[in-house]
Amino acid sequence: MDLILQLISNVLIPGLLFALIAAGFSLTYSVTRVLHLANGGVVIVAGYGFYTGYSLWHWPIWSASLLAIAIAILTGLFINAQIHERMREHGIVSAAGMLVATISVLLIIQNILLAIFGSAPKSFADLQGTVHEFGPVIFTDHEIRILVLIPILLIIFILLLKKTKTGKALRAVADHEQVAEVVGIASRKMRMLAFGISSFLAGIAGILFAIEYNLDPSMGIMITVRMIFRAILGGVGSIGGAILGSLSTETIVALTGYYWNVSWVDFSSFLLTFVVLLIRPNGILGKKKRIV
Amino acid sequence: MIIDFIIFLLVLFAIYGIAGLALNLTLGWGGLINLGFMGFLSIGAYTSAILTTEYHLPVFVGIIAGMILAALISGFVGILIRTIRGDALAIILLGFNFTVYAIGLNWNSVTRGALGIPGIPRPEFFYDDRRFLFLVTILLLLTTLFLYRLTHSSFGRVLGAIRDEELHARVLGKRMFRVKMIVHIVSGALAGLAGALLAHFIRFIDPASFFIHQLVFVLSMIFVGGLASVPGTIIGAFILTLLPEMIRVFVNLPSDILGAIRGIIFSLLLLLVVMFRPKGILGTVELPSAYADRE
Repeated sequence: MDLILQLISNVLIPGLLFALIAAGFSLTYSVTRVLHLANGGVVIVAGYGFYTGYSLWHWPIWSASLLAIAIAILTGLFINAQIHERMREHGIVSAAGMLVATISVLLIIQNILLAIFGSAPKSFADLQGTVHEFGPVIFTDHEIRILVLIPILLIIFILLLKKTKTGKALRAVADHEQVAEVVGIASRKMRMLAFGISSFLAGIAGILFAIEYNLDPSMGIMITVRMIFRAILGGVGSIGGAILGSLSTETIVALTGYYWNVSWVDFSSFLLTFVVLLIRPNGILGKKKRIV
Repeated sequence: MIIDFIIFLLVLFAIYGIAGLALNLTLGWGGLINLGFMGFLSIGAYTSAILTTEYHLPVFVGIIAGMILAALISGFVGILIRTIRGDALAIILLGFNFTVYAIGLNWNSVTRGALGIPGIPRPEFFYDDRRFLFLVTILLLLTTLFLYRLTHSSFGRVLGAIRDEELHARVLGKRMFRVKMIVHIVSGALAGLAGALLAHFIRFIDPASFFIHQLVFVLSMIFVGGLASVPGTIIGAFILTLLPEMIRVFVNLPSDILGAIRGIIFSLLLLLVVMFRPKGILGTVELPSAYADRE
């Protein structure tokens, strides 16, 4: 029983962080049809924004967080406006072209951060806070912050998509762009909004991630690769799938770490995704076009 | 002095030329977004390196074993992915690349993990750089000739038809699976060859030698040179192997910043080519639309 509780606590922290990142990724994919691999780059941009505000300029946490989230949103909107919208205008819609462009953006972001901040990891150990014991389970202040904040954000996000008019418009564009245009939805604005929301989520995740696991430039690719495994396991384009995919992958990761070896966790999580995709090519919850 | 450096660059150019042709066979002619390409290179390199350092087999045996293993695994991957299409396929192949990287990093007893494998021997007769250049030039010529013949044959036309109009090609009774398998196996073997040559030339490999940065490098080569074009690939390989050295000659920077700048330049070049000249310099095709297979 103790073991199960410990495993659950090991699953929840990274699972929720990745759920937040993958949910944004799924939203951009279903609305814009772009596999936004640069999302991992946006996550570490937010991390370094926070580092700049908090550690370099000694700002209070709240203003440093606002700075980080603002930078993340600007980065996401810039990527959308300057690259994806332009490629649409030029009529370049080949899957390979889009993918290669977004991988390039990821590497550009990562290398710019490397050139500015160097490769040494940045730590925010002072922000992790004191350790609390709940029976067999141990959480730091920061981990409790993650456990409270992310579920609230995800619920607000899903309610926003399900209940509000803007959310309906987003889902309409995801369902069928042309028909949505016909009924008067500005699909270009909705694409911008999708990138804005996903970058906002990536920004928050970036700050929480950096405090929990430290920060270095090569994390961009790692976060992206892990994010896409989790997202396509649940079904790309489905927010519930992103959450389910993240939590189930982290379960496999925790079990692999416990019964086998921590260094093989990426291998086993990829294997899980691959096997599931062989059986269900669209992921666990994936249907052809689906959001929420 | 300078001539040694030029020979060094020419060897790299020839090896990456072979790698570029192998990737272009799947991506340009085959229309398969092969983001797992570096995995096959890695398999060839590691197989040959392990066989020649641990088991002291002759280098040529190692290279051929690397080619065969890379071809087999490429064919096996081809069988596994035959039901997956579009973006999910590209991601799965990227995941394959990542998996090979993870295995290389963690299977310490065989691959020595992050330490990498040092002291990989050169072939006896082709020990110095000039002779090695002779060897790789011949191999590049053979590969070029082979691919030129392959893609200008009826097989090449069927391949193009499958890439552009899969349904029509199927209606005409073309055996898609067989054609795709041949592409996978040939591309895997050539990737294994390039990887093994790289291992024996640099004489050191580690998992990071075959990761996403190198994938972007080879992708830039074929996107700059041109998809589905043999001369385009060669020109792309030539430009892209010389470009970073130009920077190093003209600007004096510390090495970690230089690495970052090199990464920025390759990625930016790739991005600009994809955005503004998707066919590349000599390219003949644009890949099918992302929307086609969804509607």
